Amino acid sequence: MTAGHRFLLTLFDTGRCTRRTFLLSALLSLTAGGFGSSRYSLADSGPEPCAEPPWLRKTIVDRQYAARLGRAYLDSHPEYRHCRTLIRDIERTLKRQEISVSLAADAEQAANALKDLLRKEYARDEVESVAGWVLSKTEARLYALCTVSFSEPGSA
Amino acid sequence: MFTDARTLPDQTGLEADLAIIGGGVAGITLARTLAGSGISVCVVEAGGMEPDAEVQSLYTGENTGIDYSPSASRLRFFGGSSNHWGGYCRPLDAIDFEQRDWVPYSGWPFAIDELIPYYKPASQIVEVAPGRYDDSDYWQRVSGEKLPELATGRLRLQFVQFSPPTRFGSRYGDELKAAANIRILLNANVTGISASEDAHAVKQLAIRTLNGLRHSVKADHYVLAAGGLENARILLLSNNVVPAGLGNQNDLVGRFFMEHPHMGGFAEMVVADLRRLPKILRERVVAEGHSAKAAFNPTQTFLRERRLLNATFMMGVAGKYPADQLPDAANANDTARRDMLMAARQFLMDTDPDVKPGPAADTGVWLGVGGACEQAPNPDSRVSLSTQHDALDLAKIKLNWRLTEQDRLSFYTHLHSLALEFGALGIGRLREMVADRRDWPKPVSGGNHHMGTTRMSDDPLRGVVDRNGKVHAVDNLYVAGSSVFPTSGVSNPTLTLVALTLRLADHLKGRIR
Repeated sequence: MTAGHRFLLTLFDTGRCTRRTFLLSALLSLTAGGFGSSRYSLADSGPEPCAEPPWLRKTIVDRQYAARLGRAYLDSHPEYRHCRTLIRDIERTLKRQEISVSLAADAEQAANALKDLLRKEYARDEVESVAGWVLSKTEARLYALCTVSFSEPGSA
Repeated sequence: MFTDARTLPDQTGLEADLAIIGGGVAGITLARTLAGSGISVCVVEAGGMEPDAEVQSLYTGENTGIDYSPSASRLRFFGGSSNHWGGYCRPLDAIDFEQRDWVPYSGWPFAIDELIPYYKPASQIVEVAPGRYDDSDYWQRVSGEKLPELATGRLRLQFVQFSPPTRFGSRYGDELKAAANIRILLNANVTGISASEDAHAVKQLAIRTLNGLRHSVKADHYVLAAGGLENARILLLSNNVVPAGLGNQNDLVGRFFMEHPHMGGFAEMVVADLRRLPKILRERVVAEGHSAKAAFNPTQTFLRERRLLNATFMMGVAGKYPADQLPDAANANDTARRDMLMAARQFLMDTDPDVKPGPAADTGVWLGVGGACEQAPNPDSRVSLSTQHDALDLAKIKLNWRLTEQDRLSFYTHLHSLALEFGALGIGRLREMVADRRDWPKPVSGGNHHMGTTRMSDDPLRGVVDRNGKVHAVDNLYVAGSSVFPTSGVSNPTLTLVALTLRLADHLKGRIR
């Protein structure tokens, strides 16, 4: 883990991620050589910021609140600190539930598909405890995605 | 006729065909069924017509188990504990009567079918008839709101109907007073049930008053109907022939004390769109002169599959969050609820095109969740006699209410089901507020439901009374009330104990005539 990554981790863990610190941390990560080639594919060794996928904005409007829940999830699931991992997992879960949708293609459709997925996960007891809240696994990961991709309104 | 035992000449001896010990729900119900029957009845009530501190103090006792008040949980005056009854009515479930191999000591001597004919008149007696305890269609129709079809298979909606509540003393006192064959003896404390030398029959009741008088009541048959704690105490005190207490040859009297553990503050729910939660799920709905509220109870299939005990959950709106009001940052609960509501808003808002958009004024509401559960019969949870004595120099009760791991694990499993159900329905999110699931939510309290201390079984080694409520090996002594319940289910016991008493009345009518 690079120094930049450690700094980032501190920011997200303490909940002090503002637009300014976000940009600063992104810069630090960049200088530490953390960015990969993909838009969501960042360094493997620590939490990394990524741009918000458009479908996430449609699915979760008030992302700053979700980001706080996501932080609690990431505390107990550090393996999901990567955008790439989170998105891949969400896509795989949709496929596994035979919900046919391309997240990138249609944000509205993606939001509805995720809503259906969450309900199915609750019905199947595929849930996590996050800060006491009983959340579907994908819901928790969506919030985690908000945490690692969140920037304050207007910043993107 | 009402007679105050304190005004009778000392050493008065009364006689009747049937003596009923206790003028509470069971005693009054039984006496009413015999009004005008030609069977002379003497109801021996320990209290008067009104509460009295000195009389009530005879209910104090020692507590060695879960914090519980033997005195505050019952009332010692005519009408008994119906005088502080909350009025919750619903029958037990069919599974509650079954012998479940995962519930030790479970199984009634008969199935629910045996009680079904009695639930209807019992519902009339507690003034909730007609009972529509499982009629979702009815409540949907009269409430005008579509009820959700539950999605997990774990829970079902059942309905609690609320009695006014019926205060049995004031509601039925005049009726009993007018009955020529019924005498209500007030302020008459039964200090012992005197048995014959072979302990196979009761000879008479020994009675004392707080003003120092001693009387007796002789009858052909006796029914002990003094409540789930006092029934056991009186049997244990009645040791003139059997040292361990009448009916206690097998050391069962007082054991298997059960309550419905009640919990609050263990969980809360947030709901972004209250239109998605029909009113009857969050508050009492009044329709056609009756009020009811839905409860989330486990399905019998789920209970069998997971080998769980029964439980019930109800909820009510506890607070609202206006959109223009920021949460109190110093209040962690406010912040947590607001975060959850805002995060999940898109998942929780109603998308039904037939539903008009509601005011955007509220971010959402939070609901308090209350729950109660069945406790497995446990011989170590018990009522015994204390070394302390009351004003009549009788041993007080010593209560040791205990719960088991099985009880706790069942409760938490059902709580989890509630969270899943609200998520699957897209109605809300549940937050557990229990610090450590290895322990019970704090505090655990009772519902003032005293059950199991003279449990019913056809096997004298497993029960104090038989299927008719007769004390094993005592030919003319019966027990009425929830103390005969072998298992508690999760429904409040009043309706069932009234139904059981009506069944006992039918049996007694056949015997006494």
